[in-house]
Amino acid sequence: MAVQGRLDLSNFSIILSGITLTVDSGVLLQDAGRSAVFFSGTVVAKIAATGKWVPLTDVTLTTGAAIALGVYLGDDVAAADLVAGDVTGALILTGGGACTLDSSLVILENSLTPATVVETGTINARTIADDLARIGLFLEATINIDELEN
Amino acid sequence: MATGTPAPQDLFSRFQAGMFDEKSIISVPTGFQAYFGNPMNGSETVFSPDANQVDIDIIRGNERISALVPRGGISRSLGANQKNLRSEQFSSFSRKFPLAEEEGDITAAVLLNRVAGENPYVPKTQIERLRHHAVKIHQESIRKLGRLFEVLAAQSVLTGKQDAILGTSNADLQYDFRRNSAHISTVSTSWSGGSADILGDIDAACAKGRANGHVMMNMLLAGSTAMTSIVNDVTVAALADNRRFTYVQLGPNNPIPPKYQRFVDGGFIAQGVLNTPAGNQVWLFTYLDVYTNAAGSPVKYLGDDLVVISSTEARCDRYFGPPESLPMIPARAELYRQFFGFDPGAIPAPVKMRAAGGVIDPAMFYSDAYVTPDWKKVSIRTQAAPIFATTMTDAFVVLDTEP
Repeated sequence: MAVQGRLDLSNFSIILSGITLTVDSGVLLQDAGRSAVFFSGTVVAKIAATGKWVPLTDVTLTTGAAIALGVYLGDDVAAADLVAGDVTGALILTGGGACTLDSSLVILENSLTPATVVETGTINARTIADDLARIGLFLEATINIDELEN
Repeated sequence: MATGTPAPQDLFSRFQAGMFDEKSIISVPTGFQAYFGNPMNGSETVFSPDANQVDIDIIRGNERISALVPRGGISRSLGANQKNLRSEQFSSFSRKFPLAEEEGDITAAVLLNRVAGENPYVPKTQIERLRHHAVKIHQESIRKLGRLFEVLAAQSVLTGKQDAILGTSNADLQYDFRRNSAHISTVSTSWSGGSADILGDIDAACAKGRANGHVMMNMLLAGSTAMTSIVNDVTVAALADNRRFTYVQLGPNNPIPPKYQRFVDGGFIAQGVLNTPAGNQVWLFTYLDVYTNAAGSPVKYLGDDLVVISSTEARCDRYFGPPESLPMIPARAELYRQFFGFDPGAIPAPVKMRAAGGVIDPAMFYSDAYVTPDWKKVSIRTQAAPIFATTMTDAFVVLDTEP
């Protein structure tokens, strides 16, 4: 048993400013193959046919899942819960009025970045950050005034 | 217990001279402890008589500058130039108190024998002898604990860690104050070899301490060999002999600024002041005091080859935890007072504690006593539970000057 324990704590909010528009009845689509936690702050897309939300993982899909339409704000969801079935009651940030988000807390899965181009090679080419901006969500850089111990 | 056959007195007349007890001469230094609990720099001394652990939240800082932005039109910048300030995050540490303990017994049989300094024809009473033994045991316990404190404080300053069990190699049994690993290093060229850039090493250490510790370094504590190397260094000597520039002022004629007095009171020996050509100013100290290790050998609190560059502005806290014994109820306290003639909360401290005011405090120690059921033995126990935390741990840079 150690004589010393350590915990690094942060008390940050992903929403920095502006008006936020949310839904609290979102449905996260079942993902039978999921093995990772679905974290709060993950950028999500909506399956057009069903209205269910999925993490944005591929900008080439044609189901609606390629377009960032929100950010998941609820509690972290265990992988097993998504494997078991749809998760209801999900809090989704679906848009805002000049709403800025802490860019370091916005999560993109599958190695995507805010600069990843959607519909590349077409007249509609744009980035994921542009898609978020279209719904009033802007990514803003932050800098810590507090640092953790070495 | 006295054994053997009693010896009758011979024909010679006698006079009993005053006893000499060397222990009353031996002082307990507190140089390293002087870094801790200094109220002038915000350091805290915490007494926690009932809690098992001490918690502290630590926020480290930085020295970034503000952004300049174009005038006109900007309400909220999304560019990389002006970033939104984000508060707050911190590291929370929880530390379980260690336990230091000294115990000594007094038996009924020894109370019938003469104690040191007792005139055999003007005998003391048994209760007087009991109190004589009790004072000695108490005082030696405090001296030993005081030396342990100094060893632990030295560990914290020199390594950024403190043992919970002395000499442990188990990291789980150490308090780690998380010093930047670059702050404990060995110089590339031996200082005693004549070719080292000693002032360069000192300047680099000062710069490191300033950058990561965020305070100006103003103290240099050197072991014997390291200080000899500094004094013998040709560059240092040239600066000291320069008639126009008084960069180095070594000798007894430099009055110590008040902020260093607590270190001198604790045993540091002031050597002078050094202004480096790069612009740093550090007061030089040595520390030659020793303690006796388990093998009976003298060991210096500060190794001969080591140099500690630090700042009097560094906050270093100290926490004193609870004893491990049943509460001192009035009945036990009264027994204690009747046996020993003093209160368990005001045990007789050794005369020779070399310490500035507040460095040693009676509240650091817990003393109690218990009697065996046969009423033939009394055990005196003194406990302490110190943690010396180099809270601003990056305000210390330690150099080994002899690779």
